[in-house]
Amino acid sequence: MSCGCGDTNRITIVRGNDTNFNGQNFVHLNITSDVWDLSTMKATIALGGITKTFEDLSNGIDLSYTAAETAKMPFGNIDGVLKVYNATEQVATIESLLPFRVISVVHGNAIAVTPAEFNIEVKQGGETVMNIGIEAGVTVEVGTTTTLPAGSDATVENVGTENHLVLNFGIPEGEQGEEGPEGPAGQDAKINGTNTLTLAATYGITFSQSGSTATISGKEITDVVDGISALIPSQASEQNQLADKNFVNSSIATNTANFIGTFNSLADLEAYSGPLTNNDYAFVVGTDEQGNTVYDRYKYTTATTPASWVFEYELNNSSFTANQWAAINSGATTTNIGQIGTNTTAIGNLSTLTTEAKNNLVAAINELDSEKQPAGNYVTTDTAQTITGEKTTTEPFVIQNGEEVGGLIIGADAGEKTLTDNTRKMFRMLSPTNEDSDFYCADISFDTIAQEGGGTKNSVSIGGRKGDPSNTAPDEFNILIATEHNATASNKKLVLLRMTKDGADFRTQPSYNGTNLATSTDIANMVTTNTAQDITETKTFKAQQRIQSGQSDGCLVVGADASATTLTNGTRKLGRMVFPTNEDITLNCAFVSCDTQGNSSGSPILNCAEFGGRSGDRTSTSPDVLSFTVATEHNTTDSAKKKLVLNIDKTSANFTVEPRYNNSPLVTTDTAQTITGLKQFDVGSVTDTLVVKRANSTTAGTAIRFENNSGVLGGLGYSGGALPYCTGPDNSSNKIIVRCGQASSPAVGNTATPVYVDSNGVAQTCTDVETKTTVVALADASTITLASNTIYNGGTLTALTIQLPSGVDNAFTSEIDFTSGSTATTFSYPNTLKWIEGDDVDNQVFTPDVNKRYICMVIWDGTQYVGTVRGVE
Amino acid sequence: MLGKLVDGRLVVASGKYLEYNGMIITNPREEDWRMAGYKDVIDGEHLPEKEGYFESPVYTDDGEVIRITYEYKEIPDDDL
Repeated sequence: MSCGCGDTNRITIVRGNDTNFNGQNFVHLNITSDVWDLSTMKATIALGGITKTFEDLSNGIDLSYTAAETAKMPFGNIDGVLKVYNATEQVATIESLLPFRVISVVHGNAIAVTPAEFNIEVKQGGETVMNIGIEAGVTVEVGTTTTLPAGSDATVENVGTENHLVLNFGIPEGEQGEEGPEGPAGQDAKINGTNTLTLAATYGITFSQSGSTATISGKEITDVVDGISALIPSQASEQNQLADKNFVNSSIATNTANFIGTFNSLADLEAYSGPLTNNDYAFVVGTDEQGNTVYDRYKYTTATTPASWVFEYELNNSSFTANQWAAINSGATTTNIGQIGTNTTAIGNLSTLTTEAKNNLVAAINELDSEKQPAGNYVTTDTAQTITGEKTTTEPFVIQNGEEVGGLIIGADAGEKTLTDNTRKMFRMLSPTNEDSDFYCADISFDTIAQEGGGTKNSVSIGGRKGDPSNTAPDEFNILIATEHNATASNKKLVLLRMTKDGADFRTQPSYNGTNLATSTDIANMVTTNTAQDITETKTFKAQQRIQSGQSDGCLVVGADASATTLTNGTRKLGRMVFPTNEDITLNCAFVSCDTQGNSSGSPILNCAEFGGRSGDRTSTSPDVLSFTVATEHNTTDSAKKKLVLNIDKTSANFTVEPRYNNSPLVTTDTAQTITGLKQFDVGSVTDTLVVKRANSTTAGTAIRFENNSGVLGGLGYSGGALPYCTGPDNSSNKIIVRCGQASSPAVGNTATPVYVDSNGVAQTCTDVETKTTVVALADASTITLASNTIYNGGTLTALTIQLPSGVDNAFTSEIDFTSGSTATTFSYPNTLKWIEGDDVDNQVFTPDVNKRYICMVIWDGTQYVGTVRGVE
Repeated sequence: MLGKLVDGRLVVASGKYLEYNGMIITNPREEDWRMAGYKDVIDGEHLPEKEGYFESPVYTDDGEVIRITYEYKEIPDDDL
């Protein structure tokens, strides 16, 4: 709900003042309601960020603001929000109920504007529940202010309306007052307020004014000026040197000359764009044919059209010519000049000449030389030359010798400039250093050094000799190679080997194809020789190190003579490979130790490699765990494919050795082991089985044997047939009974030569072993291989084929019981079986007849199988 | 009838036992004979009697069967 008021109907608030609403200090809101009990209601009015709360609305709301409150209100139009509450809830909100305008301090007549009187109906559900109205106020506006004649009455006139007063004021002027008393005598005029200048007293000059006439010392000022003007003649003369004004003005106009400046050329001068007047002048600097610096004076003249610069004359700033100056600066004396051409050996005295003189002389000599030899630096004599002092050149020296024996030989006898036999030779090639031009860095040094035992050795030192006290050695060596013939591009010149120092570290950096090889390391940490080296300090490696040898006998040999660094025959050797421990960096843990040492009884020397270190080693500890791992796939890095096959671990005081296969523990030792405590195999499921398997499953023998201190108690074995066997004591008979199959089976031996262990622990051959006869039912038309101690019961058969086993003993016996039916049984057998007697046996051939039962016995008589037949009708 | 040619002569499958491949097979069955290489023997047409000649069998093993054909052969004078 909005009042819809325009800006002209807003209530004005002067920010920072106690708000004067139309001469009142509040605005009154009339609130009436026929529905609500206004005495129990309250309201809030929010205006310009300030919220005020009012209770008991029955008498309306008096709204006012202090200067502090209005000071916080923003300039411009703001609208108040009225919220009306009953005892428990907000029942009405009227937006923009109170239209205000916040202004700054008001100057002039406008004070405030009261909005037109209005009412707001508050409705709920179509029913008017409350009326809100703002009481009309009266505005006052100051109109005109008129000064009235003295003595008249002041007037006030309202020229506005009843609610908007516009007051015009009339204010009378005051009456003329009476003449005042005479004032004190005046003072002398003062200058700057401090010095009193009484001109009449000091110079006899008085200034006075009478009416419009001013006088100096009694003379009118105009007369004085006219008198001075009359003294100036029309033309100056010796008697009257006061300037002729016309003449002066003319001279100024025609003869004034200004210096414009000094220019490097006439063109520069003519390009000058500054103001110019007639007779202005300037200089142009130049050099004459003799090299002298000269100044040409130019004058600007307006006599030409257009005006131009005209050359006047040339000035030389020195009384000497250029050659004269050069002679002066050369420092040459008459004595020097006299020496030239008269005493050539004294040319060395020219060293006293100035540098400029020397350069001139050198230039002259070079000019003469250039006429005699081609450009470049050549050694033009075959005779030895002595070089003293520094030699400089701006071009490379060329030493040309195409002979096979040609070469540049540098060096001489030590301390000499000669070459003689049997004399120490020395030589150095140096490079200047950056910081000190008098200090050099040795590139190559050569020395012939006497050897112990006679003779000398030629020693070339790259980087200079250690014994050379006068020069330093390089910080870095680089060996480069060009990747392309005669290449000059930097990217085609590759560093193959760099030897450098980095701080206190020394490194050798081999490279290949511009890439540093992975074998970079400190020089101090490199093994660079095939000869034995003493390692005396801790060596550190910043990267992975390789020891590479593709030779069949190539290897890393660690160890030496005991308590020595040498290798000699017949001497005990010791070697250790250790790694640092976690807790104490001074304590190492050995993982391999080597020792060659015989025992006290003089047994042979043994080469002993001990994983985990030697027990006698007091300087190193031994590992807590020794683990052996193999990769299940070639070159794999996958941790899942790296299998632990043997783990030797200690847990507290217990030590476990755990060989593994495919990550499962294995029992892999053939040596007797002492088992303390209970050891058990946990079999998880029906498919988890403990198998004791003989290497050759067809060979009979004991697989598990039980013993005590007295001997064998019994065992579990394999007979070579289908059944396992077991042996053990029979407590009831105090005998060892050989039992087969289950424990409940009767005591039946199943081995060719059953043995047992008696109560004294002595192995005995079983004497009361019975052989169990096996009964096998025959199927018709079947083929069987006869087994010993077996009865084959076939009933009526139409056909039967038997095979005979090989390798049997004399105890072999087998019985076949069958019936030949109405069609005689087709009976097949190997022709090695000889039927020696019996029914239906003819010529050692047994042919079953019809309708007859046969009981056949087949035995091995030691040389062949024989059979007998008994027929049963 | 089963038989097989041994040295050009026809051996007929008959008897109490058969020895074959290291085995003695008594009361052999037809399949035993066949396994031992005996085949069906197909007898050819006999020739009418002809004076001075006798009927001579000719055995031919074609791989599947043994065929018997006959031919005349002159009776030697000694046998007359």
